[in-house]
Amino acid sequence: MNTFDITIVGGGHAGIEAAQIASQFGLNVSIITMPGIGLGSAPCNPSVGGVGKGQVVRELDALGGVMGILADKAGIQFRVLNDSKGFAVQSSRVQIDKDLYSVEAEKLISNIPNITVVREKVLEIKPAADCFEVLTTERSYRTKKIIMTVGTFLNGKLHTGTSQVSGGRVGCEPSNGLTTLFSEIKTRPYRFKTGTPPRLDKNSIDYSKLEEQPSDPAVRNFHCLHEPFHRFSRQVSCYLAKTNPNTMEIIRANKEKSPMFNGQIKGVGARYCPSIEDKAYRYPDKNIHHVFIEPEGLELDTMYPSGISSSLPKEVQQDYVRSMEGLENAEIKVYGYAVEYDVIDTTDLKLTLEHVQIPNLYFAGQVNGTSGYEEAAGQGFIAGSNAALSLLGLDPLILSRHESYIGVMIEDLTSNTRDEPYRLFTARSENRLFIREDNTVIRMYPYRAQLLLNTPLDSYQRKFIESYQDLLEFCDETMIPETSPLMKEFEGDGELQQLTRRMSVTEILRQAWLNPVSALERLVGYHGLSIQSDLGRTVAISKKYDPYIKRSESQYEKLKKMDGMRIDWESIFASTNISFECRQRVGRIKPETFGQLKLIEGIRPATLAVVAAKAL
Amino acid sequence: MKFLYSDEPIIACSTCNHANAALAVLRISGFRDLSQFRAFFSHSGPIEPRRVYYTKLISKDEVLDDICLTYFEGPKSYNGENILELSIHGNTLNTERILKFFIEEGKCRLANPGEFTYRALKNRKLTLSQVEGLDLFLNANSGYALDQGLSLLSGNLQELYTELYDLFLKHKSALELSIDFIDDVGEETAKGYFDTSLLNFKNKFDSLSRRVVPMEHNLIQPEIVLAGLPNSGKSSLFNHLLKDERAIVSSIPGTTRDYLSESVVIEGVKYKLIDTAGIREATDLIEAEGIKRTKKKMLQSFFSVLLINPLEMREEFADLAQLKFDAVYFTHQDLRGFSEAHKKVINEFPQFGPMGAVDLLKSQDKLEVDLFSQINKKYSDLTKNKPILLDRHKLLISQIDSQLTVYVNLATYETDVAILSHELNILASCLSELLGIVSPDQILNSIFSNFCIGK
Repeated sequence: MNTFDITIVGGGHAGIEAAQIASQFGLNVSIITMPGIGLGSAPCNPSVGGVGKGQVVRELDALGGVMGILADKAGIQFRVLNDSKGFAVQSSRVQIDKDLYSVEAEKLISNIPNITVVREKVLEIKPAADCFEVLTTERSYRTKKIIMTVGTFLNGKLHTGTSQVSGGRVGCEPSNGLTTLFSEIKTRPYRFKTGTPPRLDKNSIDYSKLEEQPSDPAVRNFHCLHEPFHRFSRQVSCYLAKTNPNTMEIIRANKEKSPMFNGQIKGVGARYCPSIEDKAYRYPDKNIHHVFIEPEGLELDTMYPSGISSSLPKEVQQDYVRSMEGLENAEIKVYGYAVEYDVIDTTDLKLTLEHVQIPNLYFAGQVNGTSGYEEAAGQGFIAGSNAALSLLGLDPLILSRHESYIGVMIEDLTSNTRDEPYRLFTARSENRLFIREDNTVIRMYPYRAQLLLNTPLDSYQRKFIESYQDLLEFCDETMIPETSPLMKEFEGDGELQQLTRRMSVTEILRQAWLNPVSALERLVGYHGLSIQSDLGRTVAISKKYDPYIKRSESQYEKLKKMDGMRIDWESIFASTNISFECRQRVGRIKPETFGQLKLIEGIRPATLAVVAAKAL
Repeated sequence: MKFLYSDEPIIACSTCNHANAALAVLRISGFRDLSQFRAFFSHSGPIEPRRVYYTKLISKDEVLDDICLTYFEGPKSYNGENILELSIHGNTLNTERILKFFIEEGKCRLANPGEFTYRALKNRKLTLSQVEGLDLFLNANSGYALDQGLSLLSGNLQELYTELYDLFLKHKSALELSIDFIDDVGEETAKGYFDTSLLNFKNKFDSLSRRVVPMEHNLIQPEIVLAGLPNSGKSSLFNHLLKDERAIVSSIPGTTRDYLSESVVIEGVKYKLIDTAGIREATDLIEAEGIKRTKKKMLQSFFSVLLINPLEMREEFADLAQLKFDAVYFTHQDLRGFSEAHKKVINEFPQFGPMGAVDLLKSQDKLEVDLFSQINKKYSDLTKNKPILLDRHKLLISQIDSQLTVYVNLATYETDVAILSHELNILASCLSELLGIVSPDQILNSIFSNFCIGK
């Protein structure tokens, strides 16, 4: 019988992150994945990153994850979103070649000797003495820890028009339901739904009628050890199409044929990721919606039309696609469908993503009710590291929500039962000015160091931090006299934009009209120094936002002080004065502090703050 | 913290228990179920919520009282808890005895002041603003304060705050929309949402901030201050207005050492009428303190009246002329030489005239009519624009006002959105203090219900 330290069920984005980081600790790791699906496959949109998500990919990269490496290698179009809106909300996004991404993932995992990839379907998982027994279609395995990264496969059901088939995604069979896999789990799973658009034949689109979006050569790669602007693959463009009144009319006329609106689908979909049916029925006044036509790969002959996911019958999909300018002759290669699947109640998970009721069992990714490859990968990394750290008797890895989007996500997931798929937005963070792409190393370095893995990544980060401190010092201590010719360069046109006194570099960087990054480059160059461009960027932007961050921090400190107040959850739980549902949540989550209590959904923070302030 | 979660059942007398009356109402709140009380009632049938039962209250075979009881089952009750309301006979001794009975039976403890409502706040039956409104409503001294209390509790003001909050959320959503969902909506649409939503919020807020008048006078407990030099007739007027002999009237200057206050109702508004110590350079220590307090009282008052005896021309008149009074009356018209003395004072201090001269003995009723109509006019003028009464609200509204100015000056669509959103968060914390919290989830909810987003 095969025996492993850690077994990961599912070879998607969460699964490979979990396996890779766990293997770094020298443990014996296995991935059990459905036969016929490549590792790290991208069944929905062909892109990695995006607003909020780009930050997650860079956080993962700094922690030692693989998503950034794979995305760079498979990247065929790079863009920075929110380029004109200030540094804090800028995020990178890369279109990936799906096939290439999966090939690179297979290559990366197969090069790690202590990971075994098993391509069999899991039938049942039973706890045995000190371990689990995993029964597949072929044989059984023993493992000390299990990480479930099963995506949309639990009890998966696919819908296109009236046709319903069981499956985890198109062309793949589903896995058994959670309660069949684990008879010990008593909590009823929730049912979520997600959808994907029809894929169009690359050669049937009239690109001359669409707006082209070329790849931006100035976007930095995700992985810090890659040359920042090197491209591993040929770069291609995306295109922008638009729906029109006719498109929406076709969809509205077929409302009764949509499984989502005729009651056939029971699962809850995300409001931020609506199907084209949602858009048509919910916003009857709006007829023009953006549809981004994205290449799925260099060799693949399909394009992904982002924005028109649908579970309408095939002939209706064909009609509405062809109603759009530039898509008049478009051929559909794969029809859009909706998938319904089981998700677990994530309030049953600890911050390490270990199940509260079943020790040594972890959950990560879409099975936790999140959407998006990046969210999945972030959780996979946290589950994988913690499974390993726990086996080695080391402290768990828990990222603060104040320092990372991964921390925001995991805290949100474990403190609340979600009623729709969870996606990261920058709006979910209270500390957006600090959680940026440019300062990822600064934010993640202490967490990476905690893992005690001494790799080239660690030496890169140590060097980076040292130079960072030096450069900060340079900014604070270097004074530029008002007579310096440099000062003239930095002045703006406005009356209040004159620099008439001696200033430190830091002060100059904070002038509202200046781009701090190019200003610092100039200042450093003027002093005959040369620095890495990513380091200069981090320092310049940090200096710019510092005063704002300090102000937020003082507010945060106030809150934190309050949040640290200990409360007696048992008395709340026993109270007759609190609603039944609320007490159940309190009883399950067992908040020990005011801060934790506050995070429980349904309890208004302001009311609590007022109440607490009065009680103090 | 003890107060926060000390949620055992509480009891209190909800009606005034200072005098004997026909009825008194006791409330018990926060008990688990009714069964523990069943033995105390002669009524043995079922007790259904929101029905009144006539029953005897029994303590160990002894009947304490004939009462009516009503059961309000939580969460559908005033504060969300199970509440038992007992209408008992309102003899103060009876009330005390029954309160004591329930407490000694170990069923509940005596409630802290405001605890019933505190629990309503905790159980989110009322917002903080509503609680403040309730307080204003229960303790109002005027029809206007009564109205505003009710308005905060459930009416227009609460609605206005909520509307303001919704408009704020819309603007905050528009800002977030331009960050997280720009691909879905496009720059042009996002800018449109941003500008319109800011304008709507600002307009609504301006209509609210116009209602914050920087008033030194407290309109919740308006005071009328009678001031004047010793022996100018303040106490006589005070007594007349109260039709009472409350102040010691004598002709020895400096008799009213501190100040006296009584309530007087004018056109439905309850004022505190204050008779101050005479203003003069006192040698007596106690009186000196009284005079200091007089000046302070006067500055805080809603309406101030100065009485002058022109026959005793004094150097303190120069001091008094520096202060602002709502009304000035010359007294001792009945004494010889009044006319010349009056003229002389007016000549020297034009600030005091021209004002009515009064004979305190003969025309007090005329003075009363004149004074009351002036007071009433001032009150109506001040309340005409529906000013916000509560200090906390006034303070927060002016904080929001100044932060909004900072924000509006910064807020062009082109500014660094992260910094904009930082400033907006500061605004949000003031706003949420006024009306509730703005959490990310609420903002996202608002985005999803108002805008069309999609992958």
